[in-house]
Amino acid sequence: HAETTLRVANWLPPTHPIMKDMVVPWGKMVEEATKGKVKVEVLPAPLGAPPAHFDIAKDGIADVTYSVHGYTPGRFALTDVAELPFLGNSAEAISIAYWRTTEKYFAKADEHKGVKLLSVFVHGPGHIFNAKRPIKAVGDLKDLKIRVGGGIINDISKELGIVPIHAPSPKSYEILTNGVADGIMFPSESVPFFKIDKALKYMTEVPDGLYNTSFFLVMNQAKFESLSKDEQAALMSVSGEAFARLAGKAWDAADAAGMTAIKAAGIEVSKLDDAAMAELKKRLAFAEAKWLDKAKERGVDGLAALSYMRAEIAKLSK
Amino acid sequence: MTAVLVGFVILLVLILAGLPIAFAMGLVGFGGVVYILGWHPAMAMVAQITYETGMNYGLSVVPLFILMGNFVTRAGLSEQLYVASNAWLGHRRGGLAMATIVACAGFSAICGSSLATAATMAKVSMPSMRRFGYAPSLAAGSIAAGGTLGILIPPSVILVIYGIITSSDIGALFIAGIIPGMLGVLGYLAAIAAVTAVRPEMGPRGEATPMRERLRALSGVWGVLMLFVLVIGGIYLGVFTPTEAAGIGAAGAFFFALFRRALTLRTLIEVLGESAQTTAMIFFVLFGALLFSNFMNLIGLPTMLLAWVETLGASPMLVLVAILAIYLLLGCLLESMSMVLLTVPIFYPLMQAMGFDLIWFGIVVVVVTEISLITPPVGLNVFVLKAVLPDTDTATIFRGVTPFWAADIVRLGLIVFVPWFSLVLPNLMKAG
Amino acid sequence: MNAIKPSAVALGIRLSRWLDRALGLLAAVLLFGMMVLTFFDVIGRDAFSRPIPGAFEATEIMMGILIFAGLPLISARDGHVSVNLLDPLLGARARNLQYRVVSVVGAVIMVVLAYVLWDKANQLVAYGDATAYLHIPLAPVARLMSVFSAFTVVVFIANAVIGPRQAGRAPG
Ligand code: NA
Ligand code: NA
Repeated sequence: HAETTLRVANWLPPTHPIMKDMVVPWGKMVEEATKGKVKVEVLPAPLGAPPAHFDIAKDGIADVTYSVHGYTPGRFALTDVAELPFLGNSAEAISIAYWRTTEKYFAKADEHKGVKLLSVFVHGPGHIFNAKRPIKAVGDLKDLKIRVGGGIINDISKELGIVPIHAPSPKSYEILTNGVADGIMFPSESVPFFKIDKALKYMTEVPDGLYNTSFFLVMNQAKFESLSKDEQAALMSVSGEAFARLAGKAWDAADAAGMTAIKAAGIEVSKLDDAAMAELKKRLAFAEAKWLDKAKERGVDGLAALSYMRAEIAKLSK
Repeated sequence: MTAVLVGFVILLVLILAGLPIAFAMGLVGFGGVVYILGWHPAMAMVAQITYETGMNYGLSVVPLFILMGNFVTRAGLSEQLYVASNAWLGHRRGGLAMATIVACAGFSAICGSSLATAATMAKVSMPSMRRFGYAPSLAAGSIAAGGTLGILIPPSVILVIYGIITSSDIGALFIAGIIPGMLGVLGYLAAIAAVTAVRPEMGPRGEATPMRERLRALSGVWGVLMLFVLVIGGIYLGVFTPTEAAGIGAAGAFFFALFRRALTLRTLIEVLGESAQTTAMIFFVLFGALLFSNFMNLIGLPTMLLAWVETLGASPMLVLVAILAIYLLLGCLLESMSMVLLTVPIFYPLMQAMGFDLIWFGIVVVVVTEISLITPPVGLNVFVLKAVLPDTDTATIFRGVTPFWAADIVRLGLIVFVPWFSLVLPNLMKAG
Repeated sequence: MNAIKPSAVALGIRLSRWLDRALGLLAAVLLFGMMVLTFFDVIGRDAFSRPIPGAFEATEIMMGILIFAGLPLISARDGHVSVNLLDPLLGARARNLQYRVVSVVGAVIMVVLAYVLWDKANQLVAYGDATAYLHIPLAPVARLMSVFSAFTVVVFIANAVIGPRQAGRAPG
C-alpha cells in the first residue's frame, strides 16, 4: 500500500486559529498516527468560496475541507443545535459534547451524506460588541445595526429588534469603521483577529454565549475508503472527539488572548446581569423550540439529544 | 512543472487561434482539472465557480460601475469634458492632445474601464484634432494612452477584481489609485510637451478661449466632478462601501442623464442592456480565469514558485523585477483583464509571503497592465482605437503611443520604488 | 441549408429576435433593480437606520441571473474578448472557417455549462439550500443559469451556421 496525500482546501489566512492551531496540527497528528503513510498537504490558495467547501470535499475537488454549517442555510438542521444560545463558556466542552451528541443521536439522520464526517466543533461563546452604547438590558439592543453571520443568530437578532447587517466577516473592519454597522456579534477571539478593536467601544458579555457557530471537518468519501482499515482507524483516532477537543481548546486559548487584547484596547466590558439574562432567556426560548421541531422533522428525538448534550457540557465544564 | 508549461502553451495557442480568452482559459483550466482529479470533480468545479462567482455580492460593484459610466456617456458628458479641457489647454502647443489626456482622466473618474474610456474619448476628440491638422500618430496615441487611465483612476473594474482575488480592501485600492493616476496625467502631458517641442508641426496650437468661455465650459462638467466626489469621497470618508458607492453612483448618473433629457424608456433599456452584456462578458473572463487558476493551484504552482524563490535566495526586489518583466512580456499577447486574472492568483501569495503590501502591489499590477494595453504587438486600447478610427493604421497608433509608453515606464519606476505615492492616501483614510 | 423552407427560417429569425429582446428586457430590469435596491438600502440605512431586509441576498440573486441572461446576448453580438493577432494573416476563407470552428467550440462549452448547472440545480433541490434571511430557494437560480446557457448553445450553433457577420452589423 503506497503513501497517500490528503489535500486540504483552505479559505482562511495561515495565521487564523483554525489553520494554525487546528488543521495544521491535525495534519501532523495524522502523519504520526499513520506512521507517515498518510500525508496532509494544505492547498496554497482557496478553491472556492467558504460555502462551497462541503461540496468541494464531496465532489473530490479536494480531499479534506472545513467550513461553517450555517453558510448554506436550509441544508443542515440538526447541526443548529450547536448554535443555540446559552450552551456554555468553554468551546472545548461544547465541541466534545457536540461530537458525542452527533455520533449518538444524529448519525442515522446522516446530514453529512456524501462525505466522511471527520469532526464537528464550535468556537467560543458569542458576545455583543458595539460602538454606540453600553448594553445593560435587552431593550438596549433595539435598532442597533449589528453585523451577524448566518444561522440561528439571524432569528435571534430579528426577535431582539436588532437591524441585521449581512457582510462577510473579513469586511467587518470596513463596515464598522464606515458606519454601515454599529456593532457585531463575535467570539472574543475575532475582535483582535479582524483588527476591529479600535472600531468598538463596548463589549457585552453574555454568560454561556448568545450564540455559537457550528463547524465541520469532512473528507471525500471515496478517498476515505481508499485508505486501508488501519489507516482509517488511525485517521479517526486523531479526528472525531480528538479533533473536537483540539479545536475547542484552541478556540478557548484564542478567546483568552482576545479578551486580553479587548481590555488592552480600552473597550468597556460588562456582563449582562441576572435580571437581563432572565429576560433574554425568555425572549430566546423560541430558538430551542424551533430546533426541536426541526429535529422531529428529521426523525430525531431532539429533547433527548439536547438534554444529553447539555449534560455532557456540564460534565465537561467542571 | 511540465503540466504547468503545457497548460500555458495550450492556452496561448488557443488564444492566438482566436478562441475568446474566457473560453480558452476555461477550457485549459477544465482540461487541467480533469487531468489531475478526473471528470466528476472537474464538472463540479465548473458548476461551483460559475454559480458561486455569479452570485458574489462583492462583485456587484462591477455591473453598477459599468452602468454608471454608460449613463454618463449617454448624457453627453464626454463631449463636455473635452470642450472644457480644450478651453483651458487648446491654445498651447499640443494643446488638443493635452486636452484629450485631461478629458480622459475626467472620464476615467466615472468609468471603470480603459476600453470604454478610449472608445468614448476617441469619438469626441479625434474630429477636432483632425481639424487642427494634428499628426494622426500623436492624436491617436494620446487617446490610446489617455484611455489607460480608466483602470487606475477610481472606479476601476480591474481593481475590484484584484481586491476580490487577494481579499484586499477595494475602497483602499481605489483611493490608492488616485495619486498614481495623477502622475500618469502629468507624465502624458510632459510627453506631449516634449514631442511637440521637438516637432511643433505634429500638434499645432488651437484657438485661444476667453476666460468667460472657459469658466462656462467648466460649469458644464460639474456633474462629473460631483459624481466623482460623491462616489470616491464617500468611500474615502468611509460613508459607503464600494458596493454601495457603485449603487449610489449609478443612481446618481441615472438622475443626471434623466435631468439632461438624455433618456427615454427606449434608450434606458438600451443602456441597461449594453451594461448587462458587458457585465456578462467580464464575468465569463473571470469564470475562465478562476478555472485556470484553480488548475494552477491544484498542481501546486504557488508553492513551487515560493520554494523556487527560496532556493535561489533571490531578494524580494529581484523577484518583483522578474514579475514585472513577466507582465511586460505577457502584455505583448494578452489584454488587461485576462492578464490580471491569470497572474494575480499566482503571484500574490508570493508577494504576500515576501512582505510586500498588497494594496501597493495592486497599483503596480494595474500600472504594468496599463502599459501592456499600449504595447505592441497587441495592445487592446490600440485595437479599440483602430475600430473607432478605421482610416488610421495600427502602426501609426503604435508609433504615436511610444512617447507615452516611455512616460509610463518612468512612472512605473516611481511607483515601484516609492510606495508612498500609492499608500499615502489609503493610510490617511485609515487614520482618519 | 436548401432543404429548410424559407418560412421556417423566417420563423426562426423572428423567434430569435423575440428571445433577444425578451432577454435584453429581463437583463435591463434586473440591473435597474440592483441599482434601485442598493440605492434605497443605503438611503434607508444611513438616513433612517432601516436598511432593506435581505437586500444583500436579492442583489446576489439578481446578479447571478443577470450575467447569464446577458450571455446569449453578448454571444450573438460576437462580444467576447479575443485576440485577433493572426487575423491579418488569414485569408477570407480561412477567417470564415476559424469563426465557424470557434463557434462550434463555444457551443460545446455551453452544452457542458448548461449540463453542470442543471445538475447543480438538482443538487440544490436535494439540499434544500436557501438564502439566510429571506429564505429564497436557490435551486431555481441555478436552473435559470442552465437554461440561459442552453440558449447560448443555440446562439453559437447559429453563429457557426451563418458564419462571420459584416463588421458593424449585429442582429436584433
Ligand atoms: Na476609472
Ligand atoms: Na500589449
